[in-house]
Amino acid sequence: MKQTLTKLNGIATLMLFALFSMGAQSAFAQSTVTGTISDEEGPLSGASVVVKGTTNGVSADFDGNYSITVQDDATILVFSYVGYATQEITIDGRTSIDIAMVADAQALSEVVVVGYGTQRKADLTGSVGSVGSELIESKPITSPDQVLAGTVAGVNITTRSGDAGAPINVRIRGTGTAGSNAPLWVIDGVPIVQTSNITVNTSSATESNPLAGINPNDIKSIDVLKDAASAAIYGARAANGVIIVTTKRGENGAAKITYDGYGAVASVRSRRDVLNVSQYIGLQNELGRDFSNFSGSEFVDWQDAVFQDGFSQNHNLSISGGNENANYFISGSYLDQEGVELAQGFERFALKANSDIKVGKIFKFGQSLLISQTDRNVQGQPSTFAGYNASLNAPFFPVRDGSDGLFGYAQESPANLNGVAGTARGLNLVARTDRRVEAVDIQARKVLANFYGEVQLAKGLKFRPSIGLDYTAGSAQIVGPSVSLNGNAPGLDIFVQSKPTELTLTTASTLGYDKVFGDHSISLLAGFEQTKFRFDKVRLQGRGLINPNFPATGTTVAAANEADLWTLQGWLGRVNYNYKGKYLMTANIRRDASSRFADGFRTGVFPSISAGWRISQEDFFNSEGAINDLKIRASWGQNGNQDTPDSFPYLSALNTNIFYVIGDGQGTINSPAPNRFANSVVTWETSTQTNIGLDASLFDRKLSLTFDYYDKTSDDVLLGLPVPFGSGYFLPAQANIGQIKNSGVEFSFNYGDKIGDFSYGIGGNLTTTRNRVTDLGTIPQIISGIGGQETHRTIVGQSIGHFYGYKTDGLYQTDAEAASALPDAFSSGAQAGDIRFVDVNGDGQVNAEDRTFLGSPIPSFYYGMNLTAEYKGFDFSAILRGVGSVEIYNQARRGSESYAGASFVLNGTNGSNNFSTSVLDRWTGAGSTNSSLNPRLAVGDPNGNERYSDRWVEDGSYLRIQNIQLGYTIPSEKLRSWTNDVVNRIRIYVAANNLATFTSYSGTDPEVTRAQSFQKGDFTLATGQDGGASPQPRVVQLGLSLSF
Amino acid sequence: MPLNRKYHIMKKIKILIVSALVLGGIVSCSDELELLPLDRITTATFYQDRSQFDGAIFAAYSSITDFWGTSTETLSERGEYWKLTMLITDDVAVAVDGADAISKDVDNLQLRASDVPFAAIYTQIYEGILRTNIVLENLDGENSLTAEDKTVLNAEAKFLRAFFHFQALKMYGTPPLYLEVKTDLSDLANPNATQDELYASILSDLGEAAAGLPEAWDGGNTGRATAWAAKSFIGKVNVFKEDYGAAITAFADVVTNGPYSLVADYEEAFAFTNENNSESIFEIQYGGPQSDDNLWVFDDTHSEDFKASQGTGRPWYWDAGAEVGAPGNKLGWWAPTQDLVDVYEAGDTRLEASIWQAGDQYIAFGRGATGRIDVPYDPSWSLTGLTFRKYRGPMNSFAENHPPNQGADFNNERWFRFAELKLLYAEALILGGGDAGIAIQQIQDIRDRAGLTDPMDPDPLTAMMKEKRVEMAFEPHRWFDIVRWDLGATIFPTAWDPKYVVFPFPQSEIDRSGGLLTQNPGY
Repeated sequence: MKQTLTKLNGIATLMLFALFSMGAQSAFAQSTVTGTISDEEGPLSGASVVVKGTTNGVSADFDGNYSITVQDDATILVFSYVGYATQEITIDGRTSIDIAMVADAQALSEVVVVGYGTQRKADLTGSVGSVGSELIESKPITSPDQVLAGTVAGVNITTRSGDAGAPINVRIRGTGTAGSNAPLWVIDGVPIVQTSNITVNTSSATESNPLAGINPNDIKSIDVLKDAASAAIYGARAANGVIIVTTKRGENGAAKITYDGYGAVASVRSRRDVLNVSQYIGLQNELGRDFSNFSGSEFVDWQDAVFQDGFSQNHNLSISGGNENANYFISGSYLDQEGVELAQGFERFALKANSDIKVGKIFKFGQSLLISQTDRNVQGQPSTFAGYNASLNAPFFPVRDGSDGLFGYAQESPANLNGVAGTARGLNLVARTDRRVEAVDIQARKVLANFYGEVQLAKGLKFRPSIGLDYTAGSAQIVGPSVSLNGNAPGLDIFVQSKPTELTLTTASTLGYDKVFGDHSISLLAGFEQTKFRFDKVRLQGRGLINPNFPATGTTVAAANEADLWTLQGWLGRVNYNYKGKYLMTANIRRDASSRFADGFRTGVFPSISAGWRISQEDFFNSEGAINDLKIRASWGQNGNQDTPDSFPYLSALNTNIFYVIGDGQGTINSPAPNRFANSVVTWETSTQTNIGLDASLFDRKLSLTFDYYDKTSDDVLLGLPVPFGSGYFLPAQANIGQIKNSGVEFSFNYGDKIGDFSYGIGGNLTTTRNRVTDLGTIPQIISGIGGQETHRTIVGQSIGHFYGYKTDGLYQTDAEAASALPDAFSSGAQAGDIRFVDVNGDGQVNAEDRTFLGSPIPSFYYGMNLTAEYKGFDFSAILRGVGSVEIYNQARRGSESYAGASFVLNGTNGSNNFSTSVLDRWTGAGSTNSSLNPRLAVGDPNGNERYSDRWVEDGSYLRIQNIQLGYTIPSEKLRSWTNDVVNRIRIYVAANNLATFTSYSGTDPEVTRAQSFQKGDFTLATGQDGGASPQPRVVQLGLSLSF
Repeated sequence: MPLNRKYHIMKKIKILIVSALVLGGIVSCSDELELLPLDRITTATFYQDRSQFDGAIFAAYSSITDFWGTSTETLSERGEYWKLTMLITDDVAVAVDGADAISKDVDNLQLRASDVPFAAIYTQIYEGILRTNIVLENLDGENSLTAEDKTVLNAEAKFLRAFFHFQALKMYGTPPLYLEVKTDLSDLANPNATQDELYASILSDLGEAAAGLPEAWDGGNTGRATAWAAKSFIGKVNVFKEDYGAAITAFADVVTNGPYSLVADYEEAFAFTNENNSESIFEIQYGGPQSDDNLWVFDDTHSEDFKASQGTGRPWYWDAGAEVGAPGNKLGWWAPTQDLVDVYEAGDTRLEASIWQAGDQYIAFGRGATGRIDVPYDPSWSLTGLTFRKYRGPMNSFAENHPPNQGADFNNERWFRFAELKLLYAEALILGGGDAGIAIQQIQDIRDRAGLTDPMDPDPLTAMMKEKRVEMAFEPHRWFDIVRWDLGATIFPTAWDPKYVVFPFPQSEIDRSGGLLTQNPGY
């Protein structure tokens, strides 16, 4: 049918042209050229034909036919079409010229994925940052988010711990909300729901990165949709930006086998300096404890005992290929990573299979499939932050003492810890991390799949339904056999088995239409998407096990379960318009409805519009000059955030996990009660963002520049509002409160050139963010902290969740000075050597009203740099990144400088721990020091020297050599001849990740997110506390890539 | 050709229509958005029948169990109520070389508004109050309750509401009153109430409770508040209010007509096998060990369940410490003082029942299979040479009293004993100018049970005060007596500060109330 139509059309057109040309010839010295423009798939409608050097042009009709009247002196016709190489054809007196257009390889390579489709980079009107596979491969990274370290302007990542598989905070353009600031990840069309459900333990230190099941090596590109206009198509989940991951697919050609693998060793860069035995005994003596019986003992380097060199290996094998009708990509990978502390490890098996199949002329099907298993070994409750806690052990506490009950490890017993007076702190973290004493494992088996069909209903009109599935079956366990740590009490004898499962099902259908009318190119998209999430967990705990592998065989068994669900439905639409590739416009709209909000508050509409002007396409612009390409862009749009910690924040629901005991039989009776304030009017948070940008290429396209200014305003911010305890609720209430603004600029450049055989590139990016809370409604301030503490504040005019406490001003040097100290509600009397706290409000006394801004955990700027060079088969690359103007609360240092003991210390006395050598510089008499960091030694902290103050707030800025790599590729001709054409490519390389970090921060790593607690997840209102997590390791790597 | 074009357009329109239909077909209906939580039930389906209301009222009782509890979702408490009512007194010393910083601060009378215990107890008190108000506000909703059910539930909720407000009053002086469920997010804070308002509300609630509650419950409901408990509290509250006439009236009724009597043997009153005994006016119920038994957190189910049934952390903190060689893997942070021991008269059987000393045969429990350990008590296990025995000892040495990790006790907390009531009665009579003979008889009854044959102090008030200290040793009342009797400056000559007559409001609550709640002076 279509063929017939085409023929008829063709004949009719020819006849018309014939008539027209006859008439025309009689009037002017003109001729007519006709023909058909096609590509390999058939006729190409809308392609343009212009007589070179004139404005005389036409475009091809629906069937690719064109007819153009040309002056006799015309010699050249220019054929062009978006996405195809422009061709200049000499007329040479011909009246019929058929042209086969060839897709422009360069134009195609610069396609970016924009959500439910792709767009040529040149046509982009929003702000999108991209990372290609070349920046991902050969890196010793565990999860795809690590790729973003320093590589994309506007994106900052912070890893919670150097423990492999730990969660990573990805922040796009600042901190826009009080809740989760994680961007939406869309992997092969499947939006990923990130949770902290796959774990076995309450401690936040055991949380895992939900993206760790994805092998970065399978990724072809990562596109970061930063401005609202780009992200708006994802509506209610796009307020924190959207990251689109596209995995590799087969290309036309013979089957290609690629192997990429490496071995690496990771180690920690720095340790904490602690007191030696005699220093420890001396200081403890002043604290009233007598450990003189250990005075002859050798110094035991506990950090050395707990930190280790972690070996890792990674192997990726992939096979890919295809022809015009089908392609395939299959890869298998294995990663085994040892941690830099005992009891840390990560292992992943992953299988990836992608294919696209064309059936006939109008049908196309494809699928992306990931099956993976991760197995993570983490430190359990009694050995959390083992590396840091090891530094707190008494320096004479031995690692081994030949104990019978503890496999030869030293018991935490009086013999090893008791002084003449006092008990030293000694946690045998080597024993506690031994799997025979306790083993905590978190497994996640993941299926991430997308299946799509595509029907070409007519030329340019495509219908595409798809189903996406993200299924994770967790299996996590704590095994603590009955092993005695202190000689007189047997161990836990516990087996906890936790089975969390998560299922996200996404169904989507889109209808797309592309059409070119002359100089106008338009593309339309409409669609519907539904995401359903379901979580279930069963947990079984047994003690006194008859069968050590089954908790249900315990003499006491407890079971519990949890479940959750939500649904999101969205309608989406997009219009792209492009005039001559010069004037570009995109408009998006999405309407989302979420089960998380009550009827009436459920639906949100998120519009956006963006426009661009490629000035360099204008006639007046000489693109052969210094500036080859120049585009200015502007966008405005709105996104939503539906991310409440509870899936039913609007519903007054009763916790059914409360019990009381009643009756002679003392039976527990279910006693339901609400434990959250139900806010019936809670709804979306809306983020409105304006972006103005500029893209330019200069100097024969050697230098490319991108500049963006963004201004992002979050309204009705979804906030966990700490409510008055008097209301009866401990947990914060979900509410839409106030406004937060993030604004700043992003700048990035790339310069590449070649001098003979030497080619090199330099790139860099810089982002600034100014974070301000601009409105909090009727709430004067929000004071927050992990576990109900008060460590952070949010107030209008300052950055969200900044450190909040007392300011210090040196020490009282003499008793006279101390005697004149202002009345202090926190102090039971100051003495010489105590800290002078500042009366900030000047009311003549120091009390809670004097707490003030102490710094912000949100960086004001961050930057990245990358260098590449190649010379005759050698390649070099380096990535640097840095974060500036940021503060950290060094809670770990507090723990090793506090004489009272900063927190509850397991097995040992608060303050009987070892100390940082910094305490040796403490105040010992008038004039010895005037640093608030080092007050006098005092038992019991009567002056409150250890209150939350700037004493432990430090500058957290840093510059890090993120990755550096040197490789050699054997020349392919030689290689082929050596291997009889079997091997195409061999590259060997050495690399180092995190080689060095330049910082004034005194902790072991300035990459800090949150402190450990029993509340899981992101903690935006109380972030930036260094609790002593594993530092980011330095990884030295030797790798090999082969392709056949 | 126009015909062809038209045909094309028609075809496209048809395709568009078909596509829209396909799209629509894939679209699920909006029912998908009407979800309900799976792990919770909604208020809309609850508060229908008596058993549901009973559950709702038990939820309020369960907030009391939190006073000693450890919870992952609150403030990581470690026996905070003990710290504020017992460690702080002259009866208990805190290991300088062992206990947590806050225990030491409290023992040294360093009370800071930002300290955890003040917030922990405050949240637990007001959680309990909320739960009573929820019951009260749902009584008149659509439900199948009988008029009698409503009377009883109203009385029981008001008993508990008064109980919680009274705790708040004792600790914070002028805490806010919450007499309704607050539903407006911008209006959740209440200002300080005056003591007059608090006493009026507490006594009014207790009056309704006394009128509406049964005099006794059947065996299936043992542990619930009774009319006699309400009357007993009316007496106690009036002693605090210094309205001795009203107190005497209430106590006389309870002593004369009430069901209570002293258990013949003092230690027997705290025996695991003698819960809810004849001396018990109000007990906090603990079941166990059927549930999780976590003292040190392993639980990750966000569960409140173990709070109710885990028991008190008594062995964990009060038993002799393993670090100094005592058997049983306990912390041994807190120990009785010699000052307290010295108050006991010779021959007082309560000393042996309350405190381990040199020469005693000590009993401990080890984890798991280690079971009961009987060894001679070694004074070097404790900083004072003394260890807490009340609620311990052979009468509590049952495996069923402890979870496998030995971190908790499931023995009920004897919150309000008849012995205390008798001494309060004596106090009211003495200070209120009542019948001295009745007053002395109350004290004598206590002394008789303790095996004391010597005559008591000729000054009845002195006799009562001395008797109360030893009778109620390690029960959470001493601190409030010190404050009421104005003994602070005498007992703590250097550390005492007049501001300590009330505790600080939690700094966090001052902050959260947006200035509505005023801090107590001096904090």
